[in-house]
Amino acid sequence: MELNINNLVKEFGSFDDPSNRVVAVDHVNLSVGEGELVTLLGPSGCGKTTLLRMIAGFEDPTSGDVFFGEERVNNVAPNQRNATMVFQSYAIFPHLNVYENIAFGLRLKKIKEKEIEEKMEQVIDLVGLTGLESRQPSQLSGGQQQRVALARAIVMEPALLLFDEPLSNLDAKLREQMRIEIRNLQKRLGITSVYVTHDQAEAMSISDRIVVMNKGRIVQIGTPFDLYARPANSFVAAFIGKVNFMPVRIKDKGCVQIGGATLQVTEMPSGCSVDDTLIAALRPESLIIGHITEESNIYDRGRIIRRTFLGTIIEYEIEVHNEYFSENLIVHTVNPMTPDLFEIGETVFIRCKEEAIHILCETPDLSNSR
Amino acid sequence: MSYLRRAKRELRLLWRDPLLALLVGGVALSLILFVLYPLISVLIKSFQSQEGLYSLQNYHRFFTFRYLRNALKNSLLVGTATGCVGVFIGYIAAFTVTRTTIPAKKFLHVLFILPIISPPFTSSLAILMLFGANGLITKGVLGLKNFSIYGFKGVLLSQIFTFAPVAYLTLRGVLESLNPTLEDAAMNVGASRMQTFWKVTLPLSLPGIASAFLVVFIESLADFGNPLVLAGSRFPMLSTQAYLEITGSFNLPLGAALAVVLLLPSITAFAIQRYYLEKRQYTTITGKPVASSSKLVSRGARKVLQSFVVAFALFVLLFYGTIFVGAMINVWGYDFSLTAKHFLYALSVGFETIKDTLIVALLSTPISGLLGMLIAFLVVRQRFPGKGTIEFVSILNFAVPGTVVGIGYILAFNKPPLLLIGTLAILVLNFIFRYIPVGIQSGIAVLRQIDPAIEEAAQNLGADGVTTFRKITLPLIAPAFFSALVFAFVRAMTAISSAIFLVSARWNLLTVQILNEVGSGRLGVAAAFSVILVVIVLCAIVIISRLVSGRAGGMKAIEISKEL
Amino acid sequence: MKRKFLSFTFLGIAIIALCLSPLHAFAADLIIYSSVDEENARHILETFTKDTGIKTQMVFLSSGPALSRLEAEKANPQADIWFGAPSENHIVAKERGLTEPYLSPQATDLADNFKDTEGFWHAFYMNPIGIGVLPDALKSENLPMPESWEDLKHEGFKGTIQMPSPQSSGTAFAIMMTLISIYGEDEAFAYMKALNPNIQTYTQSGTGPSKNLAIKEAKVAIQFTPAFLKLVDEGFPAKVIFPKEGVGYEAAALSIIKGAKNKEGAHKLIDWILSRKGQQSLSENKTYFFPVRSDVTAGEGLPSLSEIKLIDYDREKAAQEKGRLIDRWVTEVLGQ
Repeated sequence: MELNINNLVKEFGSFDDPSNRVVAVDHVNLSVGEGELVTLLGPSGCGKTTLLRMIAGFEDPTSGDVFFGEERVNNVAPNQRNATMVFQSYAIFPHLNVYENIAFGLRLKKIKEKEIEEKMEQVIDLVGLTGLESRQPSQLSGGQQQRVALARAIVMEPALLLFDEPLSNLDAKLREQMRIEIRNLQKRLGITSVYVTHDQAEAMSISDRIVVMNKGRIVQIGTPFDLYARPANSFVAAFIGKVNFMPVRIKDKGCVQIGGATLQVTEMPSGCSVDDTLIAALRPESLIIGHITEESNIYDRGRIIRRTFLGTIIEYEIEVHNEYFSENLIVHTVNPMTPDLFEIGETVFIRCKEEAIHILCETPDLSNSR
Repeated sequence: MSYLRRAKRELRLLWRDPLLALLVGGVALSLILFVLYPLISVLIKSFQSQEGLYSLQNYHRFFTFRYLRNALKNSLLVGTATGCVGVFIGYIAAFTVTRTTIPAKKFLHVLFILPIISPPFTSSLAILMLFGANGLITKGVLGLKNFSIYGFKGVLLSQIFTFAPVAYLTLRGVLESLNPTLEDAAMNVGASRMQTFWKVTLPLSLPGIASAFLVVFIESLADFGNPLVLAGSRFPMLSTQAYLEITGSFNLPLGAALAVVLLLPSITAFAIQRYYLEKRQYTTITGKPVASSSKLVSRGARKVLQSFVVAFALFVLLFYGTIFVGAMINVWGYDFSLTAKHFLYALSVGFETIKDTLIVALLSTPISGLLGMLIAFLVVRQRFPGKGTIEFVSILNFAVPGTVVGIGYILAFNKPPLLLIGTLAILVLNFIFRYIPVGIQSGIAVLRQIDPAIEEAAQNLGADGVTTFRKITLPLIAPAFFSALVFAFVRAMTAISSAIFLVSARWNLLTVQILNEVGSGRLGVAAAFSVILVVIVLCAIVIISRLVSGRAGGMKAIEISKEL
Repeated sequence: MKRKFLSFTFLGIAIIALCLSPLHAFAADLIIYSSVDEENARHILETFTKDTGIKTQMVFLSSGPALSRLEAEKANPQADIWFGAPSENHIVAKERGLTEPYLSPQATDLADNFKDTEGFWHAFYMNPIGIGVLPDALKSENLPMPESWEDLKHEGFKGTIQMPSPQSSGTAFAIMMTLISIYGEDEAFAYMKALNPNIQTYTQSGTGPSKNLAIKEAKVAIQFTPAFLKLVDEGFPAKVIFPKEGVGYEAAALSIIKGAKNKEGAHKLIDWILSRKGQQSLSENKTYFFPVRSDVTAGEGLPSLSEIKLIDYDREKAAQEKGRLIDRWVTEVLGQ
């Protein structure tokens, strides 16, 4: 089923005193295709949860429409929308055991007992809870509770599946594991899903598309790759992954100057002209560092002030001080698996991969450079 | 303007769930009929003359006749004194129980609660037997001649006995919810025990203390049984004076006016307690009892505190022992031979009354409990216009003295179409709506602790409002439901001030019966009935705790119900 | 869940069973509001039932509450007869239109002060006021046995006397009217004021003093005599004294409540209680009440009426003055 959100607005506060009003969701437009998993991503207070709750029916929009397929559901009660939700706190009924928790919604539908049993068996197997049917919620681990919440939502065979930061209460390892499971499940069942989280790694790993929100507005919609490689602005760039911002000067068509180097770029942002100074967003893995040699004179130099071993990658923080800018840059190198690492205090050359330069249509804060 | 708009929207939302809308309507209607209408009747009556014409003469009499003004003064005096002393005792007791490792905690706790479930007269009865002119203690032990316990002393003593436990329960809840790691933190940076207490524990418990004071104050103002026996003509008090004006001087309008005067300090205290103090709660929301640190109390202090608590407990034991023994004494003060005749009399002649009382209590208790849970659910989880008003009206009865309610019911229901006087219905209805506030309050408290996402989840899975309430909310608020049941039952069994107006030839109540026996000088029978009553109440608590799948222990329920 | 459901059902059935149990009979019974204390009322009415076969149901309400109840139930009276309470109260009830008349054939020989001329009420027993004392207690404190009202003012009696409160008790009002008849109004109030320090407490109910005498709370008690006489008769070390200036008395009456459903039964009760049989039941049941019929003896344990100086007063006037007098008592005697 397709989900269509048209110009949705949600305001809180009194109607009489405009200064008191908070606009939680500010004219949001979104379409989610059949079987797609779209994530609403953003910092706290950006409106993603409010948006999700409006889809579920727990909040009423101030204006705008929500469409489930062809049907406008603004006035449909939350218990009649068939858009089941996995809650952040799991919201498992403490007085029912696992089986009854999951079967709760089914029982309300007055389906025949036989059918209920069949569906239950299937879904319990699907989420891996076989054998735990008669346990009480207090006897379950966090991960198991999460699965119960998941199963309860799935067994209803909903038109829409909603996730409200379902993994935020789990530890890191479990989170990683569960998000893959959730994604696999969703793909297998093909249910249109909307997922809310503030964890960008989570969003990146499971979404078909990500909707980045800030202050009630949509900032950018795109695939994880799009958002990572081509963020629309510095907010998205900084929110997703780590990024280095460097001032860049437009030389002419296809050429820009970053630091001391003049490079060819593959794409230019529209609406900019020669001699403009804009911001380049460079991911840590798009910077290369190396021992100083004779050729390195053509590149910028920097001094390593920090080295952090992260397992797969080594993260270096490099202090760069030259006539073009003064920054601390974050550089990631793949773990070479040899003791050949750069030392703290060492001066290295630093250059960026041309194909990785992504220019934003924003001017740098002048106090930062020089 | 905006209120109307919001009201319209909320009504529209409510309409989506017709069964819920019906429930809201039903609740509103019953509250208007059985809470507001009687009160308004009293108010109107107070502005009438004996002939039924509009007149201010009642209030005029109140302001000009010093005796009546003294009644107000005395009631306020006793209320304040009881509040102060009660809170003092209650705080020490609560502090000792929560912050020290006192032995036999459970037993002490039970003893402390006994006064709450005993009928109002019994403490006066015991006091007379022990501290009267011929009292066991005043004459027998201390050798005082012609010591008069009547008046301020007697009333104060009986009320402290009855209401200090109320303060104890409230304060115990407060102290239990105060995170003891705060005290640990203070001592960790160098504060001495006394400093920690004065600078951390006490200030944090202040809102709770103020709250407890006001609750005791309100209860003291409304207390009817004890003043009736121990105050005497020289020490008039408002609650009894209102009753006496009606029954002694046969002046219904004046009694109504006095009832209104009694209402004012009550409602003021109530308003302060709810709307001002509620905002300054320093206790954790979850209210889960945290393990207490006993490092705050030094050895010496512990001994002092514990002896104090034990002393009060012995006090309670003394009172109850006196009554129990008194029930078996042939003629107290004259012939101390043991006899079973009082009990036999009570069980044979009084069987009707016992049965009547049980019927009324058994009918009103579950209805009161369920209705209380329902209203709590509507107030906390649903939105509709007038919600605040419904909440306020439903707990209004808690601030209203029983006398006022009793008068109101007689005035309101003595003509068609609601002709209920003399029936079982009027008694049951009176009890249902009189004691519903506790159910509502504890329901609200428990509901607020439940993750609202749980009910949203139920809705999300297809349950409408009523189904959600039935299958999810109700089972989860079992502790509150249970405490509401216990409270309603206990109060129904021990109520006197409103009940005394509503008994009839066909339906009599135990408390009224006891009053009659006391008035007729049959102390032994009165004591016997009292013992029977307390036994019934204790049994009921045990039974109810079994029925509601023991989610909260028997005595715990009373303490939840007393925390307001 | 199932278990709970079962237990609730059981509870429900139990309640219904209780309700239906056949101990609440209806229409044929005579419903009575009795201001006569329960034990005595029960015995008398049982004798009535035995003699006439008419069953009764009774609720005890002392005079004040009974009047209030009648007033409150005016539109739909729940009872048939108001049984007991001094005649002043029945006068008030008549004036407020709460009762209806019946001229009982048994009342023709009754003295005028024992009945309403129009038949709205009939007295069926009377009690004089008496002073109950504990002789041993008095002796141990070297106090003389009081023989008159004046004697009670003796300061040795400080805090030893109990009497009912005029605010709530018809008994107390009768005492007050006695004193007014003896001393005149102003002197009577002076007397009561002088007596005030000796009063330990003014009890709310008319029988409070005797109860406290019985538990030795009070050494002296003033109220109507039945309770005292009963104590003495049962061997309690008390004595009843009639002050030589004289004592008032109550004439307890009964009347038919207006709109009573069982008028026939009501008439029968009035006839019976005023008959010789009914009057004799007073002593047979050890009520210690004095009969109102001159041809019936008082019975054992009661002093002869000739030993007592009875004082009468205008009941109608007293009823009218009641409010003012009680107010005066509160301001002058209590000093409030």
